[in-house]
Amino acid sequence: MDQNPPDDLRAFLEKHLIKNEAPEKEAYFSIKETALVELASRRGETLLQVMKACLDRGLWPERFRAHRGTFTSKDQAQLLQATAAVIGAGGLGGTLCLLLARAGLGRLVVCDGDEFEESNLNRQFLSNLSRLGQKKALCAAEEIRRINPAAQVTTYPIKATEENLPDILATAQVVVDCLDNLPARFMVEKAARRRGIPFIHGAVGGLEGLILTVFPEDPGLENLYGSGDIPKEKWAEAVLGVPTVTPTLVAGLQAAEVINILTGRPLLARGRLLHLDLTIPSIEANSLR
Amino acid sequence: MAVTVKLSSSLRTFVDGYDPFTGLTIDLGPNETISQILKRLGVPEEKVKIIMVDGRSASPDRVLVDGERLGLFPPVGGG
Repeated sequence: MDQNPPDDLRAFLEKHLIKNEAPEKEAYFSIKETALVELASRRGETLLQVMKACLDRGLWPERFRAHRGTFTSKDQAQLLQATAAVIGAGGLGGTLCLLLARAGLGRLVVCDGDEFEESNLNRQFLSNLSRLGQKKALCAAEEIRRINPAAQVTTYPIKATEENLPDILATAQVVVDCLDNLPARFMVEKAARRRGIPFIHGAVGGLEGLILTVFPEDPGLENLYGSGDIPKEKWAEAVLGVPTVTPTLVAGLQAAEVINILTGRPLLARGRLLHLDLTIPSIEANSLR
Repeated sequence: MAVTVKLSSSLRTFVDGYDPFTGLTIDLGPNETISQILKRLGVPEEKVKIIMVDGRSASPDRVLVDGERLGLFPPVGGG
């Protein structure tokens, strides 16, 4: 039936296009997931390839239609072709996976060696009673695929180590630090430098959070924390805990930074430490010079 | 001669009645350093990990100037 794929694509799309009126702009067209799935099967392609083919023609998959206006179809196609690694799938990483899946990242690499426990239920969006005892990384993959079956997910349900990080980061264009301890954060930052990719740090204590984006040539965590040799009881979260809303908001800012990096937009937290304070509330940028 | 001091998260527990909206307004002595201010406030220096003056990173031996804004952070690492 599809002897001639490009013409077939055009003919198929014409039957399935939805016309959307845009205020003060020309109308644009979108296409439903069911049609995209059918098209992928006819062409023997993946859903991701078909979504990209549509975006290349300025046609929006319905699931991304609400991005239009802020993002171009070219931006969206770039996100579909991108790979981000999320290290840690708890309070920060779990939310981040959900956000990046909805944003339309084509490929996600998720690493976390832990299983969900009861004390995670207050803030870790991927956790629930039926998932207690299950691997966080595997639950993240299940949820990402449920949101967007076009997304490819690679899971590492193991602790990140110096030995396995080169493999975990091998295909990533950006790595997001969603860990909960400084030695591991330092280790991931070092691996990101070696791999030559940006590293997005996020940390939470009480109703406050910090975000910093570090490119390979930038000063990084050492500039903030010295050697990182600080006993656990001295950290803010040991005193103030990690309440429900803070990690979600920090993860939101980290996700925004991932999208900025992948679509070539101005960055939020490169060379400046963002300090989110929900007690006032404020987001302040502190220059690290 | 005064500076504004903003304490972050767990450092707030060292100053009774600290108001995060206003921070603290501290009269400044001649050539007073950040370390000396910390001592005066009763905030242990070893609990402070990140120091910002007017939004730029600074070291504890930095002498403060009238009107500056000092931001102090403990280590933050939860996720």
